[in-house]
Amino acid sequence: MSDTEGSNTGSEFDVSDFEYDDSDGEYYQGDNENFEAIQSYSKSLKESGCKQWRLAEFIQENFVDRVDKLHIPSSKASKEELLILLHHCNWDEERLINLYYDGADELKENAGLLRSPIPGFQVRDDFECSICCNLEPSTKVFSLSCHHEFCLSCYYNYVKEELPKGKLIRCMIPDCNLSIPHALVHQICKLNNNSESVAMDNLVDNELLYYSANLYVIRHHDTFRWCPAIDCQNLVQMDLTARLAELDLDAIDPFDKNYRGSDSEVKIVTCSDGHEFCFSCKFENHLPCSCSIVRAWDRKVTDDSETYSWLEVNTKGCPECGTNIEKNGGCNHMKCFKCAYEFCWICLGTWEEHKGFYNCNRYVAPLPQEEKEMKKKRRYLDRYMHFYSRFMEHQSSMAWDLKTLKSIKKTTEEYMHEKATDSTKTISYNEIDYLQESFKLLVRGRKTLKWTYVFAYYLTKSNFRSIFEQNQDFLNALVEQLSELFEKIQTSQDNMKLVVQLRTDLVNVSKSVTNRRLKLIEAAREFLQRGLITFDEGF
Amino acid sequence: MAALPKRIIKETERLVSDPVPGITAVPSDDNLRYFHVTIDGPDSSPYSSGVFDLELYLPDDYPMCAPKVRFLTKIYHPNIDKLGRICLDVLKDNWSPALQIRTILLSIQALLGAPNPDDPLANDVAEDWKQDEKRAVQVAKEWTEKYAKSKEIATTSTTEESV
Ligand SMILES: [Zn+2]
Ligand SMILES: [Zn+2]
Ligand SMILES: [Zn+2]
Ligand SMILES: [Zn+2]
Ligand SMILES: [Zn+2]
Ligand SMILES: [Zn+2]
Repeated sequence: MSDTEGSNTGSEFDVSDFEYDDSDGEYYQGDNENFEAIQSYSKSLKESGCKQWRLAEFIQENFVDRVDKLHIPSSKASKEELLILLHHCNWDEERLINLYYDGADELKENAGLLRSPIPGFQVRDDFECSICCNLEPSTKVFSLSCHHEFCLSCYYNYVKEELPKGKLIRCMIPDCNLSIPHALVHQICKLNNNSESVAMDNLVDNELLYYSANLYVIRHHDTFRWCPAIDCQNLVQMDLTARLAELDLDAIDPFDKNYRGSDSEVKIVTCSDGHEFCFSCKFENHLPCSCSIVRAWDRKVTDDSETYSWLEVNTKGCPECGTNIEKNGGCNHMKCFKCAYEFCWICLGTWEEHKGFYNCNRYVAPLPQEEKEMKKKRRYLDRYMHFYSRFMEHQSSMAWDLKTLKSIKKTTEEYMHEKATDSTKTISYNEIDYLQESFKLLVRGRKTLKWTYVFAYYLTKSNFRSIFEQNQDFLNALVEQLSELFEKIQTSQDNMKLVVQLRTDLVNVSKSVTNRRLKLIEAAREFLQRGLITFDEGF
Repeated sequence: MAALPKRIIKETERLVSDPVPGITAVPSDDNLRYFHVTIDGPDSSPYSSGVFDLELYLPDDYPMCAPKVRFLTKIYHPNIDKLGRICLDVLKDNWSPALQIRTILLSIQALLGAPNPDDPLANDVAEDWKQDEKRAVQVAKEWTEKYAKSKEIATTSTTEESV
C-alpha cells in the first residue's frame, strides 16, 4: 500500500495500522485493546445522560405514582380525583400544590371534578339520545354526576375523537365541563358498561394516560422522544444537562456556504428494545453524518428521486455476456450464472481487481480533456450519481443482510429446539452465542458505511478526503467480507456446522468492522470540527 | 350514498320548520350533507346592510366532528380570511357533539357582531383593525355594500342572483 498524503498532515487518522496481507486475502490487525477502548468510548458517548422508558413504566412513574407524593389527605380528594387534578395541571405537582392551596374549590371546578356520585352506566327504556337522535326500547347510557345522559355508543365515538388530544375528556354538554375519570374512559373505550368493574389499580394501559403521555412528550420535546421504530412504544429521555443545543441545530441553514460544522456532536440513543436512532432528528443512526448533512442530503434525494429511481432496480446485465443478473444477497461480489464472470455489482468492474483491496469507492474524475467538453452541470451530476448509487446499493444490501440474518437465526432456533429430543445434535448455545453480536455489528457496519458516502459527498476536496475514502475502502471490504461469511452459512448444506467452523472468522471480522467503523466516525467528527464540510455543490 | 343519520335528518327538519331569524340553511338537492347558508349581518355592526352567502358541509363523522363552514361572499373581518375560512373556537377545539348546525350559525353571526382582532385568521385585516378601528369598520362597510347582497333585494327576490 502506498504512503498516503494524509500521513504528513498531522491527522490522527493513521491508515498504516491496518495491514493487509496479499497472500491469503485476509485482513488482520493486532490490538484488541484498542478495539475495546474505542468501543467503551463510543458506549459512554451513547449512553451519557439518557434514560430508557417503556410506556407502561413511564405512565406508572410519571403519572400514577405521583398521586401518592402529593400529600393531600384522602379525605380531601380521592386517588381518582387527584389523578384528574394532576392531569389538569399537566402532571406538574408543584403547580397543582400551588393552585390547590390558592383555592381548592376553584381548582376542582376547573378540572371538572365530580361533584357527587357518578351514575355512570345505566340502561334506560325508550331513551332518545340527543346526539344521535336514536330512540330505542332499551339503551345503554352513560352520564357523570351532572346527569347529562347520552347513549353509550355516542360516548364511545366522542371519547375516541377526544382521546388523541391527550387532555381530560369532559361531559359532552359544552358548558358542563365535568371530567370523565380515567378508569371510566377506559371502560367506555372497551364498551364495557359494567359499573362494578371500574378499577383504579391498573392504569398502565389506560387509553387516556397513553395519549396524555403522547402530549407530554410533545410538550417536553427538549428531553423526550418516542422511539421511531414501527410498533415500538418506548421512550428515551435525555438528561437536561446533556441535552442538545437543538435550537442552534435548527438555525443552521444547510445551504449556507459559510456554515462551519458546529453540530459535530450527534446523540445516538437506543430504546429499551435496542432500536437505535438520532435523538435530534429521529433518523436512523446516521453517523458519521451530522444532522444537517442528513437534512441536506434528504432534501436533495427527495428532489431528485424521480430522475434516479432507475438506480433502485434490482437487476443488471452481466458486463461480460449481458445476461440479466438479479441481486440475491447483501454482498456485492457477483457471479454470472451463465458465463461465470465475476464482477462487482456497484461498478460492474471485474472482481479480480477488487479482490482483497476493495477499491471501487473512490471517484476518479474524468480526464481534463474530456472534462472540458462536459458541461459543468453534467460533472456535478456524475459526482452526485457516484455517491448516490453507492448509498442506495448499501441501503438495499442492508435489506438483504437482514434477510440472511433472519434465515440463519431461524435455523439456529430450530436446531436448538430439536436438540432437546435429538441426541445427534451436540452444538451448544455457547458455540453459537456469538452470532447475535456479529449480526448487530454487520448491520451497524453497513449502516455507517452507507452514510459515509453521504459524508464524502459533502467533504471538501483535500488530503483529508483521500484519507477518508481510503478508510471507507477498508470498511467496505470488511463489511462485504462479513456479509459474504453470513451468506456462506445461509447457503450451505450444513448451516450449523459452518456456524461453529466460521466462528473465529466471524468474530474477528466483525470486530474489525467495528474498529474501522468507529475510526471513520471519529475522523468525520474531526473533519466537521475543522469545517471541512461544504454544502456548496459547485466544488 | 349511505343512509343519512337520524341526527342530520332531525336537524334539517327543524331548520326548515323552526328557522333561526336572520339565518337560512337549505340542503343541496344532490347532497343532503351540503347546505347553502345565508346569514344577515347583525344590526349595529359594519355588516348590517348585507346578506352573506356561506357553504356548510357535514363530514362523515358529524356530529363527532364539527361541520365545515366557509364564507362564499367576500368579507372584511379579522377572523375570516380571503378564502372565507372562519376562526371560531367552536368550529375547532371547542366543538362538542351536543352543538348543532343552528348553534354554529348563531355563533358565526355573533362573530360578525363582535370581531376579535386578538385571535386573527386574516393577519393584515387584524392589524388594520387594531391600528385604526374606525377606518377598518369603514372598509368593512364598503366591502359589505360592494360584495354582499343587500338586505332589501334579498328579501324581495330571494330566487334571483343579485350582484
Ligand atoms: Zn346516541
Ligand atoms: Zn354534564
Ligand atoms: Zn424502539
Ligand atoms: Zn440526526
Ligand atoms: Zn455473464
Ligand atoms: Zn466495484
